[in-house]
Amino acid sequence: MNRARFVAGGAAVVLPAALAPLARAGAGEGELAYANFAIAAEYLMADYYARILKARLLHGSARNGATVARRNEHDHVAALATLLTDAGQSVPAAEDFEPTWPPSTFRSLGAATAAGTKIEAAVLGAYLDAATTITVESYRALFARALADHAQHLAVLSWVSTGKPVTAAFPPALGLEQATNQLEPYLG
Amino acid sequence: MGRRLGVVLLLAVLLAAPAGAKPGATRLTIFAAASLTEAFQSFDRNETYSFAGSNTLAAQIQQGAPADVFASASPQYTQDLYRRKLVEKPVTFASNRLVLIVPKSNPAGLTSVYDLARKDTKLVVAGPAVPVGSYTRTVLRKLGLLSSVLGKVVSQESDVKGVVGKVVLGQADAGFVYVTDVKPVAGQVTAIRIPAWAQPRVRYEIAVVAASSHKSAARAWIKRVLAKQGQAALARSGFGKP
Repeated sequence: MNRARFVAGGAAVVLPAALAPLARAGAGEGELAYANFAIAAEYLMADYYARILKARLLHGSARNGATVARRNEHDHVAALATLLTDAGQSVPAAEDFEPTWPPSTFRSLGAATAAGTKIEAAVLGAYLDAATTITVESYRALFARALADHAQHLAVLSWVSTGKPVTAAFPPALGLEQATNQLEPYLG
Repeated sequence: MGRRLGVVLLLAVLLAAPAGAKPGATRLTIFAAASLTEAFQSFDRNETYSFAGSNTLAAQIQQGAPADVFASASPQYTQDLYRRKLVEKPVTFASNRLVLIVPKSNPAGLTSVYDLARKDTKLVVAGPAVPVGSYTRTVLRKLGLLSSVLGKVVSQESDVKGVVGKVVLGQADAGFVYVTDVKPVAGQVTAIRIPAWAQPRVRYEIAVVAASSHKSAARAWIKRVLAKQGQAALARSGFGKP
């Protein structure tokens, strides 16, 4: 499978089995660092969407959007786990992280979308950085496709909180350290 | 020869009855990871402890050192001894996290673990066979810093307390230790957080030593560690739940 066909496959669902042959291309320290960061970020966002759905803060299309977003996060975790496994690395489990949400996070729609927007923006920024700096094609392709998903999630949150689904052009790329600083208060 | 001498010396230390022992009571010999020093001593002062790197203690048990209980900072060593039928089935009793410590004076000006790659630093770590040394390498690998930081290691210690000592004495600019090692030296070091996503899975296991002549008492002691009182003592020292 060449890169064009791989990318043309769409960003909605990344099947681990389809990525396995690509993942065998040698991953270096940089690729693995992004993958380790990403798997924790995806677990965090899956927890976020589960909580915002449980809190019944979203309705109609927004609720459907959050449901699909949560499913996306699980698909991303599966794809990242395949990359890490193929690279001979241990794969963290969801239980390895204990998300710490400020008590008021899911009491109001405003607080919930603010937290979600902050984290989604950090994840998007890190994936942008990964997609532009990583040289191993399988990793770069995964991050490019996953960042397309996260841009959609961000659009849903922006629409819910401001009524505007489209935000400013050229979101900033964030280095791993900067993105980590954004996520650490929630990762426990 | 060196190992035999080590076991003989250890025997001599263990045979010397510590002051304050209850007459007639079974005094257990507990081999425990160095990181458990404060927690176990605050939990129960009436036993005889030997604290060291888990790999060293496991090797001593293999050579016949007279221990009743073995508490390891990594399942690797308890599970290995269990496969060899040298301990009973191990159980997980605590968890831990890693931090980077720097001397209070912070001569290298480190504020983030990423500074290790950016700045000229003298780093102290535990050896790769010691659990905390293995966990340190996992952290650096996950952060993508292994190749850029390992070259800055000036000393490899045989247990975590050795790492703490070097940093406290200012012989190194930074060292990787467990979060539970910070409290006893809180006035002398500053802890720098390691991102949650780069943390290794640190699990402590405990087991009765098969050659123990006090197996019932050893099992009862482990039961106490797993019970409310033991878990509270571990939590006070900063350990996480199993």
